[in-house]
Amino acid sequence: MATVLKAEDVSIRYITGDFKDIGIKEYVTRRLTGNYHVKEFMAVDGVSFTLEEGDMLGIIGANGAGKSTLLKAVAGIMEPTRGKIIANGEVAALLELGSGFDGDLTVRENAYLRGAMLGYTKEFMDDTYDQIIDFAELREFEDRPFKQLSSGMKSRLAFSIASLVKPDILILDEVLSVGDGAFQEKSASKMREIISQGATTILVSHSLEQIRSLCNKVLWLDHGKQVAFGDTKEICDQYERFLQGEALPKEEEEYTIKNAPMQPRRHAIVDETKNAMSYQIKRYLMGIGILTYVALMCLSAIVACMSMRILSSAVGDTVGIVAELEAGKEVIFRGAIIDGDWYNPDTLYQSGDWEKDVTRHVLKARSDDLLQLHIPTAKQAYLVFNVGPNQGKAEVTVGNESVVWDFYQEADVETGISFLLPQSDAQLIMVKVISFIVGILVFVLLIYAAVVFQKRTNRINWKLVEKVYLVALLPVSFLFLLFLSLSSTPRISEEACFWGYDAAIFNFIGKAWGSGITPYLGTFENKGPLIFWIYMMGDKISPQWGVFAIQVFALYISLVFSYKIGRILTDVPKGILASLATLAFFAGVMDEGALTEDFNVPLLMISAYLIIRYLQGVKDKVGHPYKMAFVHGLTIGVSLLLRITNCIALCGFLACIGAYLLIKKKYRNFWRNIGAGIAGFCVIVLPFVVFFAAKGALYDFAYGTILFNLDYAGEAVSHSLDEWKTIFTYLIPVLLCIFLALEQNPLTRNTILMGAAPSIIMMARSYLYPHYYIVLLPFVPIGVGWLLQKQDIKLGESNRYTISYAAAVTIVCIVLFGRCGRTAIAKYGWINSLHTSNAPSQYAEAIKAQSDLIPISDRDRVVGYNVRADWYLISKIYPCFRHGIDHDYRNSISEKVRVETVDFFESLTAEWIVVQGNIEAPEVSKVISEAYHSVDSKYIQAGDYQITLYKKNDN
Amino acid sequence: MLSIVQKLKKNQFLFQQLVHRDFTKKYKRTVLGIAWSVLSPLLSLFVMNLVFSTLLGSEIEHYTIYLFSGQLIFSFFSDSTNQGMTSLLNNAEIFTKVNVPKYMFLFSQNVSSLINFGITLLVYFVFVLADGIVPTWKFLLLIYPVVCLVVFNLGMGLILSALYMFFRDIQYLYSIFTLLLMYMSAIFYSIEAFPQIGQNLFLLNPVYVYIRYFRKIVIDNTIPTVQFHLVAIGYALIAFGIGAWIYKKKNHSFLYYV
Repeated sequence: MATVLKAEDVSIRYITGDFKDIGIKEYVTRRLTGNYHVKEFMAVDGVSFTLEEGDMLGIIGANGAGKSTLLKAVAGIMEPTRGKIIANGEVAALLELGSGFDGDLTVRENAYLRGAMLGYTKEFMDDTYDQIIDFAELREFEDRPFKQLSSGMKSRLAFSIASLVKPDILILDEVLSVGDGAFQEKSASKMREIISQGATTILVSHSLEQIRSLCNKVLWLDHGKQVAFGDTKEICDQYERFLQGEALPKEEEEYTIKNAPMQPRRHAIVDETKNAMSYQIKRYLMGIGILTYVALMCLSAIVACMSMRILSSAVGDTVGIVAELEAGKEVIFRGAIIDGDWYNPDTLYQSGDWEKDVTRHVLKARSDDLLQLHIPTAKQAYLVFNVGPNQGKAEVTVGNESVVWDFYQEADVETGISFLLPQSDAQLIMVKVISFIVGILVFVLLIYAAVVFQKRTNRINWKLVEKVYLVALLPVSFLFLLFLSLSSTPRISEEACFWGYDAAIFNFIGKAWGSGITPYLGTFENKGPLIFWIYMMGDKISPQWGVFAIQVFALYISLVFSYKIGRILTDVPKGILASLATLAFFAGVMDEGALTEDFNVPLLMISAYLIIRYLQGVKDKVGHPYKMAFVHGLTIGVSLLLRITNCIALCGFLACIGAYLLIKKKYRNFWRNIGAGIAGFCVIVLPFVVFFAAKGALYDFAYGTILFNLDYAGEAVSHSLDEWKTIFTYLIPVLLCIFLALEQNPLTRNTILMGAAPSIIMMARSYLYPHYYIVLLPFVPIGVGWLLQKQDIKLGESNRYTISYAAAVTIVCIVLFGRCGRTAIAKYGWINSLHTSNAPSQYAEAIKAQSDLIPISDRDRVVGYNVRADWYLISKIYPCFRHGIDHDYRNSISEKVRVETVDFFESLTAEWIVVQGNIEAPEVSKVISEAYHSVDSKYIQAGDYQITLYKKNDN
Repeated sequence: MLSIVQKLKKNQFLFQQLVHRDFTKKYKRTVLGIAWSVLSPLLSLFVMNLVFSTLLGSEIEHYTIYLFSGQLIFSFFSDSTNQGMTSLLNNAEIFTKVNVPKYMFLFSQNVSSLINFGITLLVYFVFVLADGIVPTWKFLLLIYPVVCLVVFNLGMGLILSALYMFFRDIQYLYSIFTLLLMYMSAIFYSIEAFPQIGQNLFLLNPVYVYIRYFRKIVIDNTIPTVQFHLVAIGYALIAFGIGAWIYKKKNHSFLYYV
């Protein structure tokens, strides 16, 4: 006989909980707070049976055993979570007969409606209607509203409709227990008739008598699990005994029934793992929990302290501006633009201990103090000092109008870092609150990330040696960073700032941020605001060591995760090797001994780690890909806020991985993950957008983080083919590395690695910006890990070869990556004296000596070329130069700037020009040699360049 | 495609029965029956005309028809979506017991709304004639926005009924939304007073697009541009696509929310 219905290992998951009673608001809140839970349980768990034509199956079991759920799955109303149900033929289901009728309709209408639901045709219903109504004995009620019928009548009708047809498979749920005794008798005989016609029927009943008399097969369910399936008599007897108090047959030995595979083992295993997991979590809570708690307390204390400071400084209408100045030093304060009006400094009340020289617009501090000005409450205020490297044109929005300031042309406006002041006191507080909230958000996020990742690491049984090693990485990264910053390049210090090192300048700007002021975002140059924010936070923690501590932390996280990556792939020693290789990579790639835009490295490492965990999880069911996607979004966001060129690379990198997974059909929950990614991105980017929007500096934000960078990259590409090579050469290894990471076949993997290495070397040759390649960093441990994976290495010969190859690649990375490494080797030796400490003083002496040559009356007519005004400020030299032009750097100024510069020299009556180094732009050189003559020239030994003072020819 | 046709054919009888049920249920027990469905929009039209014609009517030609066009389309949309929203949950007893396509309930509900609309439309044409507007062949084009609107209503119904299964408070939010939408649909005012950009923003409101189509044909006697046609069908297809996608995706999850 043919098989009509077949269920193979069917499991149905059912969800319960109050989720259906909650509204949108509650849903959203719970989602956000992570309190959204649904209880899942297996209503049907691993049920298998086969029915042949004419079989009548009885399903027995207590209430809640999963009978109805199973029938729903057979009827196609529910889908099995696992396993499958194959039905050959039409299925007619009669589940809970009395319901599903419409009380307002008449009996006749209801009969037709029910017939339609069961899939009958109109013709069929017309033909059989009389038969139905007669069988149900409801002739005299046919035009009454259905609700007037008794429940017995309702069920009789339902049964009549269902049984009058000839479906291939008929499902009856508690149907036969309806009606009075006579009708029950009638229905039972009807059933036998149907069965004799060859229909396969499934019957659920609590009446064992019915089952015994009607069914030839019985399925016994208990709490969703299949207890037995087989002959009616045998199982019904057992069931009866069970009902009388006997225990459920548990042991396979005791109860072996054909066709009834029981699976107690599997459940036992599940329970064991559960116990083990909860044990692990308990242990985790004990150790890490206490640590987390302490850290949390410390951090919240810091946050609270900071917030108090921030809020208290926002009270009143006093605003602290610029940098600290020593007593006796002067700073020129030209005035302020407030709501579009120009204010002279003497019209503004000054607080603090200041001496002012109104004729020269000079302020002098009597003691070490911050310059404090009381300015009127205004929509927009602009204070102007002649410090800073801010040349060119600036677009400034005053009220609703946009004003373009040309610093080469404008007579009234001085160049310098202009500080855009917040609109009003009220807004000042708001802005500070927002930046405070940003801080808390990031903090919460970090904690959350820590918890998520901690849970994950529980699955690896860390050995003691590893724990020791992981802890030891902290002092290692501290010493490493200290060594690097003290030896090859100066750490954040005045000298560093003097030399224009990024980290030092960021520190300077970060300090300004800390005093509640957003510097004009043109000073972002090609960096994003997150850097300044980090430096500001560092400065708030401790001016001396705060930023350094953050750097150590970032480096530490990177090393830990690189260790974890290596550890997952191989074993303990290889993990250690992987983290050390990362450290070496860092040595080469880090810029000037400090992390600047490389603060995204830790997140990058975590992203890579998650990807690997996920790829593993494909086989051992670990991994929450949406959390992974969230971290990816976060990483992209952070990169965007740090440096967009990195971000583009990263997006490419993640897109490649996503595409690969999609192609391989390994990617589940695509849209959910896209959503999670966007959420991660927004979490980090939106607060900044809000922050700048609140300051009315949204354009500056976009310009500083995105537009400028794109412009910059474009300019760089146009002026040097090298940059093309850069973009190209670094995309190739990224792609190769991705495929390397995902490739299962060791031979192919090694081949790809061979291919990737030359690209890495080629990249290292690229002169500019080693940070671009920081995106490759996660692949160092991956590469090392996989390269040294035991099963890959078959023979002694190739083993040696592979290891030496890996070593060579590592050394190449150390040697070739990064400016400092290259410069150090090329010029000054490994640990160098690149920047002698007397450089600034030499510089200061030279500048002072030259300044003395310029008469006081001419001081407004001095132009600096190729010099950076902020150096003057930081090295505490009297800033006497009206303009500073520092674009002639490596002869890399664009055509536009060149033309502007020449125009400037030709049109403006600059009496004096101070030039640092050589003038490399030929046009500028021509103008200066024609119209000016050299008055004085000083050689700065430490930096190996001249400072030359030119005076305009008299004619 | 073939399977959909087969499915429809197979469920044709069920569909008929559901429509029959919904329609009888809707009108059998009210005193005025079907007449009520005509009277209801007419009454609100009467009130609106009374209130607004003195305020705004003088500037707008055929103000009564202008008002009626808006009222006609909007009440069809509102009736159809409001009824449609509850259609799935109201039939929970059925689809948890019998394996029937779930969109049937919504579709049958919409048919009774459509019949309602048809009757009101006839009254509308009576008003049009009474207002001295001579029907032209262009009136045949009105089938286009009606078809679009029906598809759009179905789409919105699918979305709303699915959402309603998951969140019962959608009902209240949607009634507020409908109220807002009514004011945003330029039913009783003209958008000429707005600057160009504001007028363009109105095109973001699908209901307004269909209302405007009606007015253009009936009052202005002009055929809208091709782009306008595309916008009209676009909204309908997008809504329907989203709705169908949700139903397909959540077909087996509805069960848990009953």
